[in-house]
Amino acid sequence: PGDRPCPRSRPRTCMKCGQGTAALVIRVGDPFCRGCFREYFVHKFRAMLGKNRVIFPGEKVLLAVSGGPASSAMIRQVQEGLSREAAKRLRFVPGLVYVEEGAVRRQSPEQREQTLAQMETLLQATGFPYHLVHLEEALELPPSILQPGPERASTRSPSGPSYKEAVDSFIQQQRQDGDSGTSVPGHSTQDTPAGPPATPRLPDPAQTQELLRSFEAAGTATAREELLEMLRTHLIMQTARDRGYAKVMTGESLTRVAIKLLTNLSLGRGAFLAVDTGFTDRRHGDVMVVRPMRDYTAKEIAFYNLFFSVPTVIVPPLFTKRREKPSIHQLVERFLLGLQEEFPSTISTVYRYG
Amino acid sequence: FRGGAELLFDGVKKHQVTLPCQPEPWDIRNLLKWIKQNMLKERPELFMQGETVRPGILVLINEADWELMGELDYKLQDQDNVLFISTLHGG
Repeated sequence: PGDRPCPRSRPRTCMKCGQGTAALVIRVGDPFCRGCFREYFVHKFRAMLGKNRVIFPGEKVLLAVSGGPASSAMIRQVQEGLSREAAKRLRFVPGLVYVEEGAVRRQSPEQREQTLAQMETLLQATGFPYHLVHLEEALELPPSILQPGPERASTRSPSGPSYKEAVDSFIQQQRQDGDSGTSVPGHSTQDTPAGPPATPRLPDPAQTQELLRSFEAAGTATAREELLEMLRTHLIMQTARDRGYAKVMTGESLTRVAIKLLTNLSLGRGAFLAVDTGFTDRRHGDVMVVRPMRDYTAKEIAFYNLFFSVPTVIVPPLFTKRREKPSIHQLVERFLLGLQEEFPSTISTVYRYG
Repeated sequence: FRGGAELLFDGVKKHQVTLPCQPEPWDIRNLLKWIKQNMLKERPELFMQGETVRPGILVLINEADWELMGELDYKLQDQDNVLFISTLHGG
């Protein structure tokens, strides 16, 4: 306990199966081979959804993806889950939404087009319906986006219905709506799962300018990060409402959640900790946010994506001004990751006591 | 270099390097020093902290966690593959 590993490069054995060559160390000193790691990773996803029981069979779920490692791993887990044998299969109907943020990440129009093309290829390969939204579109959102939508009657019971009751009333609602539970093809070409990719188009330069102006006006790096998060969330919520999704899945990992937790505390948002970082977030009324990746560390996700070839699209970070002080988000990230090096249970402790 | 780390190295993900002969053994510690001196084009503090990598950067040797191989003390062998993955700002 607490010993540094032997400095020889002799391979170690997996602690789970006792046979495979260890490929990585999980948590504090647990070596796992690739095979056992894969099982561990896949099982965790199913367990998260199974234990929390908020997704109804046949329900439409919108996956909010960024091209980054966590949300890309999330897509893969959904794909794996849907393809499993009948008894253990995940049963919901996924759609994807991607918010293109190139304007505030200092990408040129050519770079933005390239990122969009790469993302579109990635999204199309899943076969799920997808929606591409530009951050500029947030400027057009109605102010009503800030109010939570009306809750569906089925979830308004004061003590909260049991899962079974909720599923039953959901199915009844589906029958009433005349909806078979499968997603309806959208209006724009971007929504169809098959067919040649539509040429991705960028918004009007005037809109881009206006967006950049709001970001410049934000003043500090911290305010800009908060603004980005808020606009992105509102766009995702609007997409969910427009397309009839009552659930949104986002890819925040354990590491990201812990950073968010401490950042929000520093920003005076302690009261919202539970909804900001919990597994479910019912703040938006009619649309519930679910965070199935919240038990995975950034390290686990990175290794999984590498070993099992999960495609990602990396974009540059949010723009910063020269000589500007780092945002609180960056400071917290630096702080937490630094502590984690010396004290490997830092992040999971923050998460548990948060 | 992956996960955004490549941005510190001219956007180039794969670098094939031949390390010069020297009396000191080539371990990860010395490799990092060499990278800092010869390859890092900008902002070394985004990649390294002291003699090791910055927290948030994963190191894999031949696709295995460097924690299993002795971390900085691992002695490099011919044709070894060292991968640095940045996990900063990833979602």
